[in-house]
Amino acid sequence: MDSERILHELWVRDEEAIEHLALKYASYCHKIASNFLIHEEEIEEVLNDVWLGTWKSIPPNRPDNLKAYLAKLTRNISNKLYRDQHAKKRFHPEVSSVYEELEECIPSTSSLEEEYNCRELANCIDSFLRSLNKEERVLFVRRYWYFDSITDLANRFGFTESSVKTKLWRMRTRLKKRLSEGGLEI
Amino acid sequence: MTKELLVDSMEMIEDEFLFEAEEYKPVPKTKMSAFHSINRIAAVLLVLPLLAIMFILLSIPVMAATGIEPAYELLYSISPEIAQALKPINASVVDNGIRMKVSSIDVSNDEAWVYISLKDLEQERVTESTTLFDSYSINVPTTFCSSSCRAISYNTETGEKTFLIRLWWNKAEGIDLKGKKVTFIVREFLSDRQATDQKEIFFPLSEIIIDPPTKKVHLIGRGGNFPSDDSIATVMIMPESERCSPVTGIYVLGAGIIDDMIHVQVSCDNPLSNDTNCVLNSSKYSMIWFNDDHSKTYHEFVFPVDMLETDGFRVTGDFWTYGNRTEGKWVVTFAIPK
Repeated sequence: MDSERILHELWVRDEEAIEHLALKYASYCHKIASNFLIHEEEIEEVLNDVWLGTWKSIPPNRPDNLKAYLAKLTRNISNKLYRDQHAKKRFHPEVSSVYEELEECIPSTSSLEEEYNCRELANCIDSFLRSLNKEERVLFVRRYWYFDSITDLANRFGFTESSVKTKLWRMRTRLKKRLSEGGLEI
Repeated sequence: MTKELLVDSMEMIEDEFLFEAEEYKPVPKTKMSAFHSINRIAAVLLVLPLLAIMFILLSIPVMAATGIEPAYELLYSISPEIAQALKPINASVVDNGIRMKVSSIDVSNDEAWVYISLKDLEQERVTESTTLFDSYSINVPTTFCSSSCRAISYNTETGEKTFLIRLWWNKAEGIDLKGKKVTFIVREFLSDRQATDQKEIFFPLSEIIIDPPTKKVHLIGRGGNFPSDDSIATVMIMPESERCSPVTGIYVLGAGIIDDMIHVQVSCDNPLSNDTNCVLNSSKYSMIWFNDDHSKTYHEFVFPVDMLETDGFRVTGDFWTYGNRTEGKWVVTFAIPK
């Protein structure tokens, strides 16, 4: 079942689309959600919300790429659930580390909300990502978009964990500099 | 909240970066320069463990192919495709006096139906109510395949219980199970189902406790329109003496009214080993939690107060448990016909 066919099923409100979505994308979305959440039942809850969210949002939306659309939806729902858990002190320690690392990128005198909305900040990050070489960019996206653990990244890239941490630290420093130069500093 | 803003902004980056991160294959790093720079002893120390690891890695497939289950399970966790390719075909197995065999396989373009029968050769442990509970595994050579298993019939003359395994895959994605091997593993099954369906439970007004004492518990399950995402919930503390027992091991403990909602609490003995369980109809939501040693589950069903009648509260429910649990290890491996 190709994604165009599933999109068509969603568009014509064919309920089999949900089963086909799950069949084709469950393992992919599961991997993304499992980087945010510890308990299997919560991950299952996220996946159910993803299928339901997709059903409700297509139409009117017609994404160019269904896989990316689902990935973003999964990340968004998982991240919200993570934040709820964080408030209740029941959270994934790896995700907490990613948050702390990203905090380091914020220019010291800046309040990002006052300067940038999400879209503008995303544009700035896009521009920063383009300035990196491919290996650095993938490493950055895997850590801060997919929330891959340091251990997974070390295995994936064939680096030591310490090397991964150093590379990420360098990139965070560069992002911080770029955010400051981009006029974020007040 | 700034770090949250950064995390949220990351979500909106261009799709192309996601695809790149998905598809990126790191260039293998050459180890030669590092190798030459270390001395001989270090090289030996490096090589010996590697040789040992290689020996183990090479041994695992051999052991798996000769039917050694732990080796197969280890290999399956590393590479389902290789583990299944090496697994010998074995359409019938007997353990603990119970025979499991592959009766037949039907296949279509992107779906297969495998009929598996279970028969007790020594006693009468396989009955019409026999269920595999959740103690089975379906090992397939790819993760991009879905499967299910359900009981479909019982032959009273032969004493055989038949289960249907359904496997389906996405051929358009290049996945095809035809010609590939699948392994079905059963570790235990339950039989001797004891059940009461639509049993009416009645609580006279005098026995419904207004604002009963409560405690906080950690839920393992929630049902219906549970009002919160929290897994910590407030439940009633009920007296130890149960009100009634619709089925062996299931006890209705009592009812109370909290915040204009009627709560009914039920306990189930041995839920993990005997699948003891219950459902009360028309509840708004329900909560489930374990006792300390996980030998009991407690269920609290919550109903709107307008269901209260003039003389009390009436509710119906289904209650069930299984009297027999049979353990063993039954493993069959079969190929999906081309």
